[in-house]
Amino acid sequence: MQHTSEHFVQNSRIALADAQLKPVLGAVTTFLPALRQKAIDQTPEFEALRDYAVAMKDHVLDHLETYLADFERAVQARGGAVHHAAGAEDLNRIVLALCAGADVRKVIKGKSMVGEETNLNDALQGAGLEVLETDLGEYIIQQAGEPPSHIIGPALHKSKAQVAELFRQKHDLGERNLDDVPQMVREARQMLRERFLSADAGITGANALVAENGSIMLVTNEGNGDLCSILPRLHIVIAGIEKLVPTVEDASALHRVLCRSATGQITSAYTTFYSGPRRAEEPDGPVAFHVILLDNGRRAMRAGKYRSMLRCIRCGACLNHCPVYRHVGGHAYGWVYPGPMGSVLTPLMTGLERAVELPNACTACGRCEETCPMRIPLPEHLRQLRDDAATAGITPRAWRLGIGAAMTAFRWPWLYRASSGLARSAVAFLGRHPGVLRRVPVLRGWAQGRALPAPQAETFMGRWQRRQHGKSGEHRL
Amino acid sequence: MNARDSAYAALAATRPRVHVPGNVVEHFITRLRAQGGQCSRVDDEPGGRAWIAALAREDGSSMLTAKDAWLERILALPGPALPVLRAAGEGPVKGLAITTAIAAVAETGSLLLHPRAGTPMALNFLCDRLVVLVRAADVLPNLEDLWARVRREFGSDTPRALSLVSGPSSSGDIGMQFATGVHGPIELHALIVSG
Ligand code: SF4
Repeated sequence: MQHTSEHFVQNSRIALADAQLKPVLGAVTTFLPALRQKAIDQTPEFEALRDYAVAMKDHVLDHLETYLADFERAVQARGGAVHHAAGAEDLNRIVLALCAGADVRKVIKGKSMVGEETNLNDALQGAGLEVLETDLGEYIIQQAGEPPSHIIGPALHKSKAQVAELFRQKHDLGERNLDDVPQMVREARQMLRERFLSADAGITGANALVAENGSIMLVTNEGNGDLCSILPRLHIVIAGIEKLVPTVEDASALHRVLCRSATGQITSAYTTFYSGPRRAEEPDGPVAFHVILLDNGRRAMRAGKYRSMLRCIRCGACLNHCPVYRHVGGHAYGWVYPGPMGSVLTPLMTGLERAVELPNACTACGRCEETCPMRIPLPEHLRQLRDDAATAGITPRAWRLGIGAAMTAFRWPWLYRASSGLARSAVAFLGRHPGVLRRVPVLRGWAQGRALPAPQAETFMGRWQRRQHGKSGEHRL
Repeated sequence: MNARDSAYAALAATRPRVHVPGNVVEHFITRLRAQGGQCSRVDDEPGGRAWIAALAREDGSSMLTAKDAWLERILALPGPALPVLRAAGEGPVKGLAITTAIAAVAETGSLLLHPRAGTPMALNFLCDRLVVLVRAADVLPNLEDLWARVRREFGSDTPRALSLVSGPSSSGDIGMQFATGVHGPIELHALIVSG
């Protein structure tokens, strides 16, 4: 997908003005957190499950290379092959070479964030291959020509009416109706079935890579990932190196926190562990099984202060709980990964210069860290990225000036007191005369539908000093 | 044991289990139903045979059967006429299909399916209605018990695919509304056979 993170502010304005998007985002960020909470309420062990998932991932990160070597050996022992891709282009090149070697023309895909990361569809289509996304949400956005807006539900930004309209445009409907969601689902089932059966290669992601036996864990509710893994003669798995776990029990341990955090489910409808190509006695399954492991900045992340980001299991909970995501949606973030996790990953994977606005798109409310099943300190990473941007001198000039002014005020208490007193009077005036703000060109949009709250009668400092009056002088400011 | 493996052994000893309260089979049934699956219980194999015949009559189509000794024994028991049986692998996979699971998990309401000689895996994912038979004694409390069972049964030579099926094919991708039968089975029935 096109990278537009440098236009986050502009993208956000467009999103905020989109009247159709607002109710959809409101529903997503209300409904999914409620489902998650219900699942957690049914699981008294949830905090212990989180603690184990975190400790297990940290252990794997400490021993990443040896676990990778174990995984590779196990895949080979079962007749599969492992490939290593340093960057996005390497991964696409390996996939293309595998397809060319097996005379592949038609490719079906399961949902894969790594595939989005490397822009795999464009590379495959550019080489003349037919590519079809089979996850219902991915299929919808592929038909619409749009990027995903959410890592779990890529088409959640689309209303039912918009999907029905899209199917009407893209499918030859004949007599078929599209009045409700079950009918739309049947429509997609019918369209995709034929394509599943005629595909030459299936490409899927992996929710975990199991070092002990070389299997990959694939989690879906639709079963599309399984059809991609079983029906075509070539199965290619693409995954980040951080997906490794030591054993199948550990994969299940991650699965427990993933399902609850992502969709509020106790389990997904389908969870399959695949390893190697079909065996002689089996009537179906791929004749070749390849796993491509992507680095794309992950080893560098592991070596530095952002290491905990590699614990991320792509559950999407931080998006659903983020007040910024709630208002601007996924497309505003301008790349594959949106929300708090995207605001950390995008600068780390594509360069801070291209995404400097993202770490600043944060209210520091801390809900992402609270809800993250892997206890990733997302607000701290966002702060570190802002720090990195300041050190590298790439923070926009206006922000630098603003922060500089604030720092000056903090350094000189009399200046701070004078300016906050002035600001209080100004806010009080504007609160009493709402029409004034609406006449200021840059503030017009913001002031529409909002009123400034009337400030308190005195400042915090004034109140503090009054309360301290009479007490020992050491606490006085 | 090297340093990594001893660190892992210490860590694995702390892995929490999810407690399954009450009767394991009852818990399995409640979970699977909550996930959109259907579940029935019969007292013995003849009861299973009768249940299958009734479902097949109601369905009206031919029935696709997995190649499995236990299933074949049940179907060969005396009882009401069964519809035309098609062995999986003959012709396209659609309509009603019937297979067996070597284990089920109460914690997640899951049935464990794996590829077997003569039975395509596609049977589990392409039919419209999937019936899975499982013995009541094979319903295990949680996932740790399942993996212990898999290790006992297969040793290090685990099957190429181990599939935990915990409901019909479903999606909430359109308007966050739950709908079944996106690609795979529109209906999933678990038939628990006691005795
Ligand atoms: S950062 Fe945490 S909450 Fe966000 S997607 Fe990753 S694991 Fe989930």
